[in-house]
Amino acid sequence: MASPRGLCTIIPMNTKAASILLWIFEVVAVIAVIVIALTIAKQFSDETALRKINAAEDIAMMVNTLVALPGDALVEYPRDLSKFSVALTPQHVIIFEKDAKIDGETRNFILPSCHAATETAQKSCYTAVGIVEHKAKVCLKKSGKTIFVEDCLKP
Amino acid sequence: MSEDDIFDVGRKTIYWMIAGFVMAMVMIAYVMIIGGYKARLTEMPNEIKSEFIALRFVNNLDCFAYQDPSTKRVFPFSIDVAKFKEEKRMDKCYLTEKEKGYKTFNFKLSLGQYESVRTNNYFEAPQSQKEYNVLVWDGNKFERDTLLIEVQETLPYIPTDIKQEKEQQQTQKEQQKVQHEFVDNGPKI
Repeated sequence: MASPRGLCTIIPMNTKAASILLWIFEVVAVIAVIVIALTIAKQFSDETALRKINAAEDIAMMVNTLVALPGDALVEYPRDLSKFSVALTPQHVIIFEKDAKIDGETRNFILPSCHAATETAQKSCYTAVGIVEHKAKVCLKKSGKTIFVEDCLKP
Repeated sequence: MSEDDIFDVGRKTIYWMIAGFVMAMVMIAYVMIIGGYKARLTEMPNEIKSEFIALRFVNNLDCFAYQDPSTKRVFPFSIDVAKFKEEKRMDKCYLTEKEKGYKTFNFKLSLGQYESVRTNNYFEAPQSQKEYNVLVWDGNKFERDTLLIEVQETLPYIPTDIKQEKEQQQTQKEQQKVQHEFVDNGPKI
């Protein structure tokens, strides 16, 4: 079948071929939708991500509790954290598997602030420090006005 | 290819365009529903979170808790009136971010006849409250009293009227400060 101007030729497609092509496209589309749905469901149901969120929430609350404690204290986090690393800074706690920036779960907390001008006075300010990488037992230690995160089995 | 076959292909193309859009919407809804479920699964009640934060007001000597000067013992669930009256004491104890601090917990503490103390981003929009039975040290002796803590949880935005009021107060303060400086030091030439 020639086009009106005769520039190109349209080859008529076989009805059966067109039908099969459409059928293949439909099957591929349905499979793609199922795969995407399952992938999303799997990602969301990942237990590791939930455990990471819970650990971050728990540790942030533990820090707040330690701040409210008049003396020194040592508290062991009761769950296995060997899959994660825990980093504590004066503003937040980050729980991550490999890279804090990529897969880190962060929770903020507010420590009593410090307006000390001198360096000596600043040493008596509240702070939170430490990092523990893939340890089953993680402890939070309050010593004076500093809260540390450390491996519980550390001698 | 007959005319019907051509229309069949055309019909299916239109069908798949609409179906594609509908499927995209369904997938977005699906992600949102599962995401919401996950958030509910890991949700921690705000009452518990605020409880742990509020404990510092009555237990930490850098907040309002009383410390015996001779034994250095800090009395749990106590309030030192001198600290409670001290200006900016709350800022040392619990200071939220200046700009976005209204998105986190803020507190208002009321104790007996004394003036209430607020955190820096408290906008009189309490969502819950708690009461602690405390020992109040007035400088000479302990007295039993009740500390009322009003908790303002996350606010999506600062209430406009309160924001304006706060800005007006700040402007007035600045004007007063300038006037005082002028009276104390005289005009600067």
